[in-house]
Amino acid sequence: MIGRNLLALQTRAVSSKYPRPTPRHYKRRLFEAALQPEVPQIQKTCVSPDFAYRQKIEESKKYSEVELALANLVKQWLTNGEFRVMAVCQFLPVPGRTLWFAKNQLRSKNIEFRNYGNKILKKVFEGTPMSSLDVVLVGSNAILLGKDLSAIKSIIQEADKLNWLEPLVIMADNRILSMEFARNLSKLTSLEDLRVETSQILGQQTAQFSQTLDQATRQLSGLLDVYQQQK
Amino acid sequence: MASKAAARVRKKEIIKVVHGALLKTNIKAQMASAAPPLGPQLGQRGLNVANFCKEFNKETGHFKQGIPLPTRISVKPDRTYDLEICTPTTTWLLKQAAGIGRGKASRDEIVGKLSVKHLYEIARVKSRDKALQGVPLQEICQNLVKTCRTIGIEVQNEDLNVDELKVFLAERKQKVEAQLKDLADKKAAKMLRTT
Repeated sequence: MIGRNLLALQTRAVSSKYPRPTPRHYKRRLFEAALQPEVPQIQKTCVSPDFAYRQKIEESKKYSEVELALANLVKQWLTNGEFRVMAVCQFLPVPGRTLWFAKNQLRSKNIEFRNYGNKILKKVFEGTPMSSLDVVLVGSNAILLGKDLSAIKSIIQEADKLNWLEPLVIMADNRILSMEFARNLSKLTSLEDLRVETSQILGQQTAQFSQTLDQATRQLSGLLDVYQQQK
Repeated sequence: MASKAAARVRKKEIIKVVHGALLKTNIKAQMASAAPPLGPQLGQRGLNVANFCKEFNKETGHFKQGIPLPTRISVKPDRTYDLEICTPTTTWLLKQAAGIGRGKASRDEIVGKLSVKHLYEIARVKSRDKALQGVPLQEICQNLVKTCRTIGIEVQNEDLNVDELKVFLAERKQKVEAQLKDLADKKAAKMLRTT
């Protein structure tokens, strides 16, 4: 028994893996107190969780230099690229390989897929009419870009095939289109149809107008004829 | 004593590894065999290793023997598989083009030289890969330049000067030999120290 205790003490003395006896022996406490360095006491301050949370949010709103540079780069790229259609989509988690193949597939249909963070996009759109898109930039988003108006159709078609990409809003030139309207547009075989329809309506109006004018003159001459015959 | 016996009886806890459906490996052309590391990798996924090797070696018949080929094997639940053999690895192609066998060992070491024309040709070869279909050639070239940097190959816009390159390669050969000798010496010294 004594031997075992001695063994335990010995092991305790050589290894730091065993807990030291607490409280320590008074001699040891005196020794440590004598050796303690004299430093000014640090006053602990309590930060309320609410304040800490608010501070964290404030900090997350600030932009670092790298983020600002990226935002500038994206802005330049968007303006130089002369994109006419942009779709903001909800972007759900997807394996990297699938995403890579989908990106290439979209690129072959002249659609660019980009997923910069919402923070960057908000900075890019800041001070432009596009800042009204900020309301949809919540959570995980990606943007699809097309250089042609017919890209609306291809964006909707391609996004329907991908279950991890859901378009929320589409922007064509400087107009924001709702998804319902965009879907209606995508049902047309081509946007040329709309142009033909519009020109047809306009042509109809002018034709009707000239017809009405003609009718009045014809009626007048008819009336005069009748009047002459009666005389 | 009793605890030892109990420990002996207790079975080892076997953690079953769930493998993904996709296996990405580099296999040397016409050299697929059931030996490690390929054999166990395929075996754990429940594939018939012998049949796989036979098919792979047959499919890579038009390549020179020993060229590392990135291979993507997607294993289906019924143990059949889709084999996708890509073009040779970028590093291998770049090293072959530069006429070197060894990449850089230290920072800022230049191990070879290539012109942009070489990179363009390699990019055209790589663009045939399934994963790079639809990717603009410019992007592939940019990635090649990055890879060149990691290997230590200097890329220049002008054509390579044959005489300069010859001298450079001769110097480089001596350096590589010295490096390899150093390594061998270190290895031998280590062996002596442990025994």
